[in-house]
Amino acid sequence: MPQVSIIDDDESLRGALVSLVRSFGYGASGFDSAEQFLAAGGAAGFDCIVTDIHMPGLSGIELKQRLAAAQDTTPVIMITARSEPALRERVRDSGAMCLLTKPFEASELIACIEQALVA
Amino acid sequence: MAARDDSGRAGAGDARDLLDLVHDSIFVRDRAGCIRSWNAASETLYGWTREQAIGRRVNDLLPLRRAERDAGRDAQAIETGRWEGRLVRTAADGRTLTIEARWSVRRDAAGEVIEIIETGRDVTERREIEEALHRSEYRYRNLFQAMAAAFWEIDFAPIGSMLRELRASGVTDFAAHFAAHPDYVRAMIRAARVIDVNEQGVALFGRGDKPELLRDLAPFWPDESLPVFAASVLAAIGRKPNYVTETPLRTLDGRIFDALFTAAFPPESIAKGTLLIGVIDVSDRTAAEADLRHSETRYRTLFHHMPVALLQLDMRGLFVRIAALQAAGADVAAMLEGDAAFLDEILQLVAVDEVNQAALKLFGVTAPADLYGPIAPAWQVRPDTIRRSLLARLRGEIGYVEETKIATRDGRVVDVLYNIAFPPLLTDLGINVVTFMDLTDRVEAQAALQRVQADFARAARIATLGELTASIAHEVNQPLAAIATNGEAGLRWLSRPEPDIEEVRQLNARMVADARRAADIIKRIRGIATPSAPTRAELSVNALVEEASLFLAHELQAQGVTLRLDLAPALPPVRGDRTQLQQVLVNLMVNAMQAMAGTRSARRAITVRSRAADDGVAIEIEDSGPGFAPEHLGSLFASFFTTKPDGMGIGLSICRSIIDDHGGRIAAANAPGGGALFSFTLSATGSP
Repeated sequence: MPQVSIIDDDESLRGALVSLVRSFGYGASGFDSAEQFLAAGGAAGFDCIVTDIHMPGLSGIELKQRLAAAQDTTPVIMITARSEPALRERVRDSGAMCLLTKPFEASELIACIEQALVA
Repeated sequence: MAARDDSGRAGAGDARDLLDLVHDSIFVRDRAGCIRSWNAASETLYGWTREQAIGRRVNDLLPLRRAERDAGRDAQAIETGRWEGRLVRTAADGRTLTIEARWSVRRDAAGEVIEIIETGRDVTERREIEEALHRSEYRYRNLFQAMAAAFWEIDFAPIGSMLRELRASGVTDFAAHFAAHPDYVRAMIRAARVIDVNEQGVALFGRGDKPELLRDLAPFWPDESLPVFAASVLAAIGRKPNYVTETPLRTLDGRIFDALFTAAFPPESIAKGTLLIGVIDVSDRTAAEADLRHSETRYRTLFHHMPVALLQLDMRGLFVRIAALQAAGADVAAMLEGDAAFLDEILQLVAVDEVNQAALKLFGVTAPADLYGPIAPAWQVRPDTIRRSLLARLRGEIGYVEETKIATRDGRVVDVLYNIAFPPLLTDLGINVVTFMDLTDRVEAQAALQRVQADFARAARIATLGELTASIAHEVNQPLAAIATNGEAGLRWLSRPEPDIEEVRQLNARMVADARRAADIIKRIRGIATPSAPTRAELSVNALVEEASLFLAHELQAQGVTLRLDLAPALPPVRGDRTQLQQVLVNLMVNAMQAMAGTRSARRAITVRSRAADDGVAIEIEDSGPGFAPEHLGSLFASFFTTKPDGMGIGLSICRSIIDDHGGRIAAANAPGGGALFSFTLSATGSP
């Protein structure tokens, strides 16, 4: 069963995402910050990472940069509540797989996850 | 004169009816002077009915003053086709009328005179005013002549002997001889003897000692007055009763002064061989006249070369009209306020009769005469200025200034500072001087600045709104995204073959919490947008109204809006927040101004009234705009309702929350006169 990690400082959304991903038959674990995710072992054991961009501490983009620096190619899906075009560019440059703007449809997220798993 | 043309074709009846509608006397006479037609105004003016007048010679029916008979007017009219002037005629009842008459001559195809049409207007009253002016001037002159005079009695006999010798020597033309031989005149002056002099004479010419004056005239006679002495002698020889002139004379101390000199030759003196000389010191008057000439010259020079445009106005027609109205008990100020036709009439009654160079330039004409005549053309854009100017005069103010617009003769509209002074002396003569300062540059710069400011304000408002929106969007998006995702996850779990109720219960619990979170965010934003707690103080409503008016004074004037304050005295104080209540007043007045943007400027007016009401004060703001469409009346105070192209639609809703907060009520209606009428109440407690 593919494993998906969900990183978001918003507890409600994090819980909802974990529940949603599990309802599609994947394994899912939630982390409330990038630091907590890294401390728990990082990408090892996960097939896909879903992370919020704006969080206290490390941002989603910085997390992706750290993984890339450690030669970790686990696909990353980013979600954000903002919609500035500049942010979209920075996300693309970081090498993230997808960018979802809140609020998004469950089907969009699942499509991204499926795409990531194929890759 | 369409009526006159018709008379030939359609018969005299129709034309007569039309002419009867004209206020001026109009009659037609043939070449022989016989009256052919006579309108109703002629009947009223001269007191002769149409039946009495027709067929009579005009000069028999209406005798002219003797001095005016046969002045060649007919000849002039026939030669030039027209004549204009004043005639003094006697009416049917013997009254003397001064008529301002205009004649025009009608000719047949061959150029032969058929008839002369006279249009006449009674200006008796005007002439009486002019004559009163002349009379007072005459009295003024007599005042000087009534001053105590110095009198001399001169023994003329030695001069008589000299003249007889002169004639014996063959001289016949004494005048030429005197003119050619000033020494001879000097000799006559030395030969003349003062026999007697009165007290004023001693005071004027001497040093308090009469005998030293009883001598020849040489010390008293400066050379420049030799011709006067010669003329006096000639007058005596010519048996004239007297000779009067102004000339310099000299005192024993050598002071030369201007004298009104009179030589009198009464028969009894001639018999005695003496003549009488009267002398009045008029140096003060002469100096005054020189001053007057000097100041007149100075005035002319200033007038013509001042860099601001100056117009000299002839106000007499207007003064006569106003005096007549006031004599009839009319309230001229009220007529000015309410009667647009009266204002139009005034613009025709006041005439320009002198202008300077700068005025020619401002009005875009080349010759002064282009500007002479009624002031109406200049004021077609902003006649309301003249109304306020006249009201100021009626209130007894010494002048009036305002920024306004004038129409030039070459079709421009120019921003000017209008300034008129009403100095009593000039005003008594019916003259006023108006200055115009061209404000185009300044006003354009100001307008540009205001446009930039308005643009900035709008941009700032939009930017603030944009920032606010982004921040609200982000804050609210968070719980909304969570709700949506929780909801979708819940649906997924419920639609599985064996629904996981526990999972769904958790998802639902989070959704409820997220919905609360969203509500909290909204509450917080509303807290930011609401201003800090208002203060409460005892306030005078009338003072609030006056402060708000002051705040808007410039704007009101720029828009040509007349503001009337109708404030009840001795109102009880109200409790409230000064800034907020001013915001309400300013908002409602600005609304009123905007509502009248499409109204003719002469009619733009805002009336603010205050009066006592139950437990407080009521305020009304009424404009002369088009009022509200009935379907809008219900939603005026709702947020974001606006009828203005660039309105935010929050002004009235803010007004209502402020008044509600103060425990008052605000309402909108259409005024009986058609404009919009906002009214609100304020209470003594200042709370709901």
